[in-house]
Amino acid sequence: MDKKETFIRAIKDNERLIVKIASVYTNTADDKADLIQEIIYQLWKSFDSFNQQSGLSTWLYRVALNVAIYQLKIAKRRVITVEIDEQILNYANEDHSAIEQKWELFRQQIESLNLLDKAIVMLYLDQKSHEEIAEIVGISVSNVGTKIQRIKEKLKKQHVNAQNHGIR
Amino acid sequence: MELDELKNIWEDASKPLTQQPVLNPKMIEQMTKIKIKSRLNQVIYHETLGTFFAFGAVAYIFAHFSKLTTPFFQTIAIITATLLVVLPIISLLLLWQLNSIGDVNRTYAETLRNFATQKLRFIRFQQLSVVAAYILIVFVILLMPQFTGGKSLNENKYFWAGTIAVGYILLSFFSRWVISFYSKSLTQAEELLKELEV
Repeated sequence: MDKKETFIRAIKDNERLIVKIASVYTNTADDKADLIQEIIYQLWKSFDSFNQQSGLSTWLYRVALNVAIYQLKIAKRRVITVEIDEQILNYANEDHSAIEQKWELFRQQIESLNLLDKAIVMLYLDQKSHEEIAEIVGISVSNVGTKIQRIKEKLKKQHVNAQNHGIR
Repeated sequence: MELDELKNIWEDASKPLTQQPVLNPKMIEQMTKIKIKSRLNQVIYHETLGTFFAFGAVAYIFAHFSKLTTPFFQTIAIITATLLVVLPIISLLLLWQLNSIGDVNRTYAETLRNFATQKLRFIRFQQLSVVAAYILIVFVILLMPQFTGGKSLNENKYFWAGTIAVGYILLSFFSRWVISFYSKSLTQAEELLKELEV
């Protein structure tokens, strides 16, 4: 199997994580499609530097999250490949706007968190262990535990405040 | 919403992804070849255009430098020219930095640190530019009569006092807007850096 085939298979096996990250870090379907495209482009560019020791999923998460941050640096991106975008937007035959609404609801709930905490929450919800989160994010395992605890408290407090103000 | 409830939304939103593949091999193959263009390029284009205007103004100052007969005006002209060269170059460099993706293999925390630092640098530069604009407006008002052979500050005090006052008021509003526009981003970037230090 040549390098490109290995890469395509790796992406196919992990496409869900790429789409999830793109869904959390963007607000519109166009931006999401652009981010997915950029993540795959950057993954391919740095595929040679992939260190087998870190594990494929860890490496993919790391690159995808880094590219997502880069996306935040610029206001908007220009769509140039309609063909690809249409295919992405047509994923799952389910009503696309219903899926977008679910992601929007998720983004709203984590809006108050900073970029570091957002990534930690996402990895935690994706059932990554504290060790894996520490490796992807680049902080100590004990720090991951502390941060998850703080995030829980923050979300709980936010929930209580919202209830006190009659917002659900 | 508590974290456990958030988990339900996460799973709900992720569900369609487990049911049907999103990407096919052909699309992935295409994506490895196509680099999408950032809209930041347009910002850089405008900034470059602004730089040419600033350089044009510098050329004008030096072309008419002989009309400045006193060391006072010569010094002002040199400071103005320096600001007109240095500020656009720094701005372009910062924009170039913002546009460069850097090493995607480093950890997320490192990227965030870099991101927050660049953001802080950019915001502080914007604030500094406003201060420089105050200086530039006064200097240009002082220099123009010398270049155009018009009335000097001494000869038409009311006109120039009015011009400086109006310019100052306009800049004052503009600078307040700049500071308030960036203040939230500044606080967020500073907090993020503090968090990453822990």
